[in-house]
Amino acid sequence: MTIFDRPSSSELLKAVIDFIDAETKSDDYPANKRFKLQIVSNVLNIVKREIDLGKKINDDFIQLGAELIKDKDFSISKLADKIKNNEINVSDQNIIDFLYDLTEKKIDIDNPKYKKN
Amino acid sequence: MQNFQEFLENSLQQNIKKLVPLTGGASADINRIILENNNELIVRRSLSKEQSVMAVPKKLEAKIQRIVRSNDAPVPEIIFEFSENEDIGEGYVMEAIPGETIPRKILRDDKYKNVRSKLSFEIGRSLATIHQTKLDELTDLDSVTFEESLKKLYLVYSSFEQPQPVFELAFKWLETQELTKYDNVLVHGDFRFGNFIISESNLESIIDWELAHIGNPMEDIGWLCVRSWRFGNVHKRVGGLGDLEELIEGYESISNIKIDKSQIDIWQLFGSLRWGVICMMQAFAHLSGSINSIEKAAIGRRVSETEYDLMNMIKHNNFL
Repeated sequence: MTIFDRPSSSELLKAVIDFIDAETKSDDYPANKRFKLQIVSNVLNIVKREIDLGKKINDDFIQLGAELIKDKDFSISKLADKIKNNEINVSDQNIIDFLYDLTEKKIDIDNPKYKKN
Repeated sequence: MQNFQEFLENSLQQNIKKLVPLTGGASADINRIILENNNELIVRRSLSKEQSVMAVPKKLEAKIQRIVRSNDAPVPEIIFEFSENEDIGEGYVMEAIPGETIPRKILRDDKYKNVRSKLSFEIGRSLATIHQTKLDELTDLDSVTFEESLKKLYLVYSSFEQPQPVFELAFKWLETQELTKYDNVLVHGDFRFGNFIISESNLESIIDWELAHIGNPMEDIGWLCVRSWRFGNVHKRVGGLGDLEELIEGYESISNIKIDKSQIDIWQLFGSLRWGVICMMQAFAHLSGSINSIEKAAIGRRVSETEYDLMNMIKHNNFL
């Protein structure tokens, strides 16, 4: 639910990404600037995926993390501290599975192609 | 730059047509020198009086290259060294070796098809030559143990105050590993594609020695196997190019050091963690406001790639 009109922020980003991608593919776009503009496109794609999928991933992992460390105020830094301070057994399969799943979801946002390779 | 060009022209006793800036390393300002007669040279220098915490001084870098070259490892010849005022800095001029350094071209272009088939062996053999360098001439080079490397890396990582549970887990995992004690060798420190000059027929040269140190021979091999340098060819463990067996065959063809694959696994995991921390370092150079760079900002989101690699190694024992 939003008070803002369409295009949504994600749709606006998509329009910008499509524009940039068309520019970088055109023959008359200078080759020396192409690489940098591709980075811009990659960054905007990360932002778009985070807008589209990020909230659900975040909510899911806050809940799963709270169950894992038995603390309703779960945070990533709390989990990191517990590992650092040996308050968690790092060979515990539940911890390893949680971190693996978390990393997979982060890759889904940052660079989904990396997982497919 | 004008002063620098004049300095180089005077030193070389030749006119320079053009100085072309190249991508720098951790602390190097690198230029291709194009002389009036179209011959080319490379100049590497550090400008700041503040040495990078990671890089060796340029004078020592030149010394290492001279020594390694005298042992027949493929390294560019040093033409002359300099140590001047703040404008000119400290550095050296070396020969420009013709060839390609861009990994994607080497891994994909047809013209490198023949050399690709023998490159893993060649790289292994050249690395063994580097590791056979006598250390008595390199007493001014730091010796770094695995434990010290881990400690140093943890200090850098924790300075960003962005806790990463996967990194914490990886540090713990590494702390518990049993490392085989090898005799110390000269470690290149950044031994990977990007720092190899390749022609259509050979490994021509190994460049960028600024992270060299004395340490464990498995470090260079583990770093070369890090997935971030496979450029899409993920199932080829050696830089996206070949299998570990081919590299080991090349290495052991001239070395008495026996490579234990389980040790490579440990060093590869350390390498992924190290690259992850370097990605953070780059991102925080942008976030701190010291450099405004979209490339450095973007690399902050590559940390998750190294986390994914680390978790695949830890959870699935998957080093491919």
